[in-house]
Amino acid sequence: MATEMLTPRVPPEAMYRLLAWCSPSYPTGAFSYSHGLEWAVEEGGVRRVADVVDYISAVLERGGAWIDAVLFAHAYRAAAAGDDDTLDEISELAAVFRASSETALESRQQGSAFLSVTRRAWPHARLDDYAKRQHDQATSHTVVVALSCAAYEVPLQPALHAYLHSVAANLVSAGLRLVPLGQTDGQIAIARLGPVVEAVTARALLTNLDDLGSAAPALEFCSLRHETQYTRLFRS
Amino acid sequence: MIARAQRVHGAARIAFKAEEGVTRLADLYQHAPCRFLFPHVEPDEPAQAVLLTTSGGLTGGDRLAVEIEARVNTCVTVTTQAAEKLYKAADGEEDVRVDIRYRVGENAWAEWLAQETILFDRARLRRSFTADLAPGARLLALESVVFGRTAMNERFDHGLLHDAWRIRRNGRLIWADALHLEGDVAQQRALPFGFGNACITATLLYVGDDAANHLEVVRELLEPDKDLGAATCMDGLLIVRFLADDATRLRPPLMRIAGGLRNLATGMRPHLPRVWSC
Repeated sequence: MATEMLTPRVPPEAMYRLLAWCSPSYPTGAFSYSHGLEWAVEEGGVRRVADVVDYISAVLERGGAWIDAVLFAHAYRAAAAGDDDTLDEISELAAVFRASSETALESRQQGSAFLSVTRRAWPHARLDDYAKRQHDQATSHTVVVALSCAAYEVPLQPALHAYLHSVAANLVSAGLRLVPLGQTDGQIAIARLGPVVEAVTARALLTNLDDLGSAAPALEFCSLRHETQYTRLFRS
Repeated sequence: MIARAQRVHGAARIAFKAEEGVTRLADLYQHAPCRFLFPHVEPDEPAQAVLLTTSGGLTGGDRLAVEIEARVNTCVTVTTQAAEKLYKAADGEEDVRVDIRYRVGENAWAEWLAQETILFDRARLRRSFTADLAPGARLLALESVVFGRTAMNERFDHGLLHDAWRIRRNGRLIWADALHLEGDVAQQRALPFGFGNACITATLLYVGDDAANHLEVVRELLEPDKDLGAATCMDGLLIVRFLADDATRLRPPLMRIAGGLRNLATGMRPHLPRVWSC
């Protein structure tokens, strides 16, 4: 555990993969999900850059992305240790640790897309074995990214950091389209979320599954109410 | 040496079986402070057991383990006698643990309709509700947590709440959820997109093959109280979440919607057990 807290050196080929997998151009369909932000904008709870930052901070610190962050760390450790039973248990847990049908879709659809693209572009026996064991059951985005990082020896701490950055950046991008805000405001939001992503990464590495839970019911309500929102651009 | 208060380790096991279309008690074990009462119910109502904690509240180190089994084709309601109170834990004491485990046999109808759990300041509670459903089994479950009796000017501002749900059907995990608040709970609840002014949160869950069929009607039932609750449905689960700034205000809609869901799914009267109205 202690070594994870030091920032490990990332070998160049691992760095390249990590940048590719966590890039907004990786074809997981991330752009079509807002994690309830669309409803928060609709009902007037999010109007400014500061509100977008508050919303995304809540997702990261106490909402769905917090759950995913802790599960990422546990899935990575199981995969790195070659412990398939534990990995499959965490995978099963991550597939169903979802507060709403739309956030479940968000995670499973991106997870399936990530797995199939990565198996083609970066084939690896560990990914094939995992896909076979899952019998095409719903997977989660967080576990398949964690598994890919472990299989290709991207160190855990930078892997989780990059994964959470991609979640935050995707929601900022949704916020720009929804509020709407300008590109500079988007980067102001990204800059302000930097310390949040860093702190959540560090805390997730130290959290055990017995303490895993969310604490942002108002966020969940945004997602539940998005399901019946009249006009929608996003699938969550 | 300071004498330590005596800790309770309560346990209860109860099982129901169906005989010629009638649900009867099959097995009962209860260890203080857990105790079941069996009120008289109308013939068209499910068999009913009311769980009572005779210690009048729980505090640091206490444990309750409750196992309920509704066997094949039974129709069972388990509810609680009153709100459960969680008192302040002393420094260094272990967390209170309350674990409810429900096994539901093939084609059985099972209900877990717990009354509120009230957390006093500096309470520390780890609670779990775990259900295992066989094919064709259905479950209606309701739990709520109150962050202090605000009318008495009591608030759950520090402490621990870990409230976990795990639902399995045909051996597979289909839903996992947990609420986790620890430390400076007042500060965490007040964070943006947290709890706002809410002092009670509740979850109503229906598990069954027909769950998706009832989502629209449940949303209509929620309409008059839509500021208090919202619903979703996935994987054979219908989930309704509630959040309110007044526990007494939430009770009528909670009873109406839980009763409505029971009626939709079974055709039984949309009433909750009588203890809910006392």
